Amino acid sequence: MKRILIIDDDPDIVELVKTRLQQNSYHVICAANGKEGLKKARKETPDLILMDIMMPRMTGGDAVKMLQDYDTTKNIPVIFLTAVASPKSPTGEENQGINVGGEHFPALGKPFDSEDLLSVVRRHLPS
Amino acid sequence: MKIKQPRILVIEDNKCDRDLLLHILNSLETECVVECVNSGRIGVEHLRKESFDLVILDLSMQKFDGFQVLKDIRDAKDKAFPVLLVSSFTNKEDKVQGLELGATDCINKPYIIEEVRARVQIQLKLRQILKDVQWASEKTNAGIKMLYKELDKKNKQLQEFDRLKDEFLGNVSHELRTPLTIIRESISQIVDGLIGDVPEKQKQYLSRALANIDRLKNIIDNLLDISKIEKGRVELYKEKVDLVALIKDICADFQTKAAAQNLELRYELPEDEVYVLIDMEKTIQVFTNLIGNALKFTKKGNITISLKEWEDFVQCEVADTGMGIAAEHLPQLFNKFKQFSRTHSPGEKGTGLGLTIAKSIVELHGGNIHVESREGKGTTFIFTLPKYCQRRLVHEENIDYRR
Ligand SMILES: Nc1ncnc2c1ncn2[C@@H]1O[C@H](COP(=O)(O)OP(=O)(O)O)[C@@H](O)[C@H]1O
Ligand SMILES: [Mg+2]
Repeated sequence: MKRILIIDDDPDIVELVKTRLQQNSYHVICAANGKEGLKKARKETPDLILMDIMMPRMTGGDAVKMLQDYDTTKNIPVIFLTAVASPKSPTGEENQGINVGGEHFPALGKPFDSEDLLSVVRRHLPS
Repeated sequence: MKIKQPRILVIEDNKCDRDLLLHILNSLETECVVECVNSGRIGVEHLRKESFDLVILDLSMQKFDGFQVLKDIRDAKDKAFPVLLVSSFTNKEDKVQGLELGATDCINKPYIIEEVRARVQIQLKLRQILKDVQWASEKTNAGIKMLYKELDKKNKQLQEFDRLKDEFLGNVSHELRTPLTIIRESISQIVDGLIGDVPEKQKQYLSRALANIDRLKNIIDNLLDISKIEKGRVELYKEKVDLVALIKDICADFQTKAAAQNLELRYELPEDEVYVLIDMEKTIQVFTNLIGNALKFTKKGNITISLKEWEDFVQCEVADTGMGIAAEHLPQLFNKFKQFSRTHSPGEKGTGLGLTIAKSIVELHGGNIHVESREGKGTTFIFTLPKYCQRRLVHEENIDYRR
């Protein structure tokens, strides 16, 4: 079973994403902020991380940089969930993504369609 | 501004002449304040301290060189006051020299009372006119300055409002998206049966809610797009794109939807590639908005996308056989929030911003867009995009090289 870590400061979002992913046979780990997320990422080394960008204290961008500092976490794919904007691509689901420190990360604009969420997750999960 | 009482300075060392002058001046139409001095030096001093509306100067005083006094007078602060020279002017060149040194007029002695009165009166009138003009221009200047200041202030306020509006829009859109996500996903999980079985009727209602949440999301997206475009904050990332291939891709994306509505979606394209210089993402948005509309407002028939090549540009058409647009609505069609026909399925209600955005994007590319429509027959949107041509690039390089 693939393991996905969801990091978002809004507990409702965490809960909903968790339910949706569990329904689709993923094992889900939850964190309510960047700090907790980093800790869990190091301890549990999930297969993929879904992360909010605008979080108090530590932003998603900062968290990603810190993930990259650790050998155990630096190769985990990260998908951002962003409420800042949701530019559409012609195919609909995934938007243009986000640059952090020169590196490009996929991003899903809020509000998202669950189909889009699942397809982005599928696409970026290491096989 | 009316000169209250004109002030006249008389510089004259001959008592008889002085008394006669005083007598004439006191009988003027205009009531004046007259000051008399019998020395050039004192006269000049007076002029340094106070301002007068007219100076009457005796050119031939015993102890003073009249011309020197005239020169000194003209060095006074307010150089605009008139100076009347009085003298017997036995030497005819004196008049010319006096006028050259800045005298305004000359009066011969012995005085002809009517002449003195007339000449003095003229000088006072001219002085009044000059003052009026000065005053008016000062007032205008002051007015302009005030207006300018006011405008500047208003402008700064507007800029600040604008900034606040942008910031507000940004914040609001961010703050709206999070609850919207929660509402959408909660409903979506009920509809998908994650929480338990849901009767068909209730599913229908919830689906309607979902469709309108997506509509709300579109409004937020479009509003942000428009505000960026209006601020000129949109940058085009232009690249060389084969428009024929792009249109085929876009049509493929819409085929399912068209088929579901029993509409034929087809294209008429040149056989070979047609290269355009465009921002692909944004151009796709133009096609998406126009094709989306065509699907929305067409019940039966077909939608045709076509492409024609001209020398410097291409012309794209999105034509439908739908309900059309009334002629009286055409002038406002591209305006924000204008919607002229309500469709009945909730997911398709739209925002009234699609055409505004399409127009802005086409114009950002240097193209133009227009519409031809007949009610009940169909609608065709026609727009142009710049062709990619080697020649244009070479030309631009040449200009750069010369700079
Ligand atoms: N192909 C079309 N056929 C008929 N009416 C159209 C068509 N395209 C646009 N319109 C009219 O122009 C209005 C504005 O269109 P648009 O800016 O795309 O907003 P929206 O599609 O969100 O209503 C529509 O509401 C409709 O009344
Ligand atoms: Mg539209």
